[in-house]
Amino acid sequence: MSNSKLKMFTKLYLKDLHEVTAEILIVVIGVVLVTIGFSLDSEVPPPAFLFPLFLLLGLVGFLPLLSSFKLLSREWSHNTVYLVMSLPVSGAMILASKMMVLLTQYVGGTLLLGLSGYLLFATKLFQYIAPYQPDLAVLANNPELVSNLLAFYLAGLAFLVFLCCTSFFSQIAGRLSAKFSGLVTAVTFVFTLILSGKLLEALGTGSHEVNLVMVRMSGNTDSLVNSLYLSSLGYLLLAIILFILAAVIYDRKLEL
Amino acid sequence: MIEFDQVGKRFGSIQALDQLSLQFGPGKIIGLFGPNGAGKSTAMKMIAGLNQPDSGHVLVDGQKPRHSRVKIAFLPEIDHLYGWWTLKQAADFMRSFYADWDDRKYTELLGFLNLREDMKISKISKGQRAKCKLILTVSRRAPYLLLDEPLSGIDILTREEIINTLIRDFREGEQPIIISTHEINDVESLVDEVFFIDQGRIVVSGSAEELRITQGLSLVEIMKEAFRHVQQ
Repeated sequence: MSNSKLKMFTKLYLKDLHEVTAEILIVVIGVVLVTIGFSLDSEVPPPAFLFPLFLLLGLVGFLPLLSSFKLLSREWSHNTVYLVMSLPVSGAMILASKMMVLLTQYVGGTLLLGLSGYLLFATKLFQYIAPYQPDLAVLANNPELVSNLLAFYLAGLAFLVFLCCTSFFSQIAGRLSAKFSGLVTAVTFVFTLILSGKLLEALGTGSHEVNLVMVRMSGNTDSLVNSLYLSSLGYLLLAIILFILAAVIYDRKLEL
Repeated sequence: MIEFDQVGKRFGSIQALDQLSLQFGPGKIIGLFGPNGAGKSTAMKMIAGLNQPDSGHVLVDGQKPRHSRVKIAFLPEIDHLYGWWTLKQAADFMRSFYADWDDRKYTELLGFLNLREDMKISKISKGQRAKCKLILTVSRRAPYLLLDEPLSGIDILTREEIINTLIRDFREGEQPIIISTHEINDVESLVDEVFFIDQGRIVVSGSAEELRITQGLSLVEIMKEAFRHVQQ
């Protein structure tokens, strides 16, 4: 009788999730402090809380990338790679559990931040711009706006997945070298990013295609959304290729 | 059966394994002996699928080691458990991956080795960590049990406990145990078959009992003799 793959994946996921507890706590504490702080202070004008919220958004987007390096490099620095590589699972499962943790970190963080923004928005901003509230309601019910926001969110998610896959790939490539592993990782990471950018540019799916000013001036938000989706698709395809390469190297070439 | 066929492995300028050919049969306790840097750990990691040969091949029941990981219970020399785990969490983790995990054996060994499930890996002594590693490895009914330097850096009392655990649990004709160590004294009475390795090659091999009788020496003395000749 063999153990189920789902059970194995869950165990790997929970183990990896524990490794990024500190990063998750940083975001949760930051969001809670900003939300409570601004909710209690009735004198603060709404634009004031937008700045820390955007700072936190940057943190939420950046921390999963840092975690992607931490999750993999720690296996070597703490020697737990001996345990992980002895397990009867493929490299794809090992890396997928780590990727799932990074997505949890990002999606959880952005949802928490969205909730905080909504609470502050509801309690403060609506009061502040009460005379314009009908216009705001129209804006909130605008399906185009919702679609644009969704496209931005998905593009951010796709880019993060691409960055994390690049991080996995470059770290595993770095581990093929007994000496200068860190240097090889850094060079591979930068080189892969540059090469990917060139490739997307050649395919016409690069983010440079998204010109917000042009779109705004022409009023054609459909092209913005389409560009974002196309760009996301390009990044996801590259992410899949890098993930597969990383998993194959992990299974066939990596040694301890 | 585990087979090494003309296996070569080089790390930079060091030849870790040099055309190594050997077979580990079923149901015996096998000693892989040699000084530090002889190639013992490389051979063990190859069986566990953590290293790959540059030349030749290693087969576990006719399969490449990376396809037979489920058959191998491997105890590496280094501490490979997550520091934040308790012994219970570590056991839960192993249980999820290996269908051959034996809960009854695990519970018995907890008492035998004086371990508690709430012990946190990072907070316990080196000897206790060695016992934790051992319990997590031998609680599996895996077809092959590999122990790489299981006694390294361990105090004499813990060594005794570890050896007694192996003796207590070993059933002749079933799970073979391969022990790699340079501390032969402690396992001399335990092994049925021995392979003395130096610079990646087998220097002496055979049945432990026959070697002792034919040469009239203990295994430690046989190793000293063998390596003295190699060095000359």
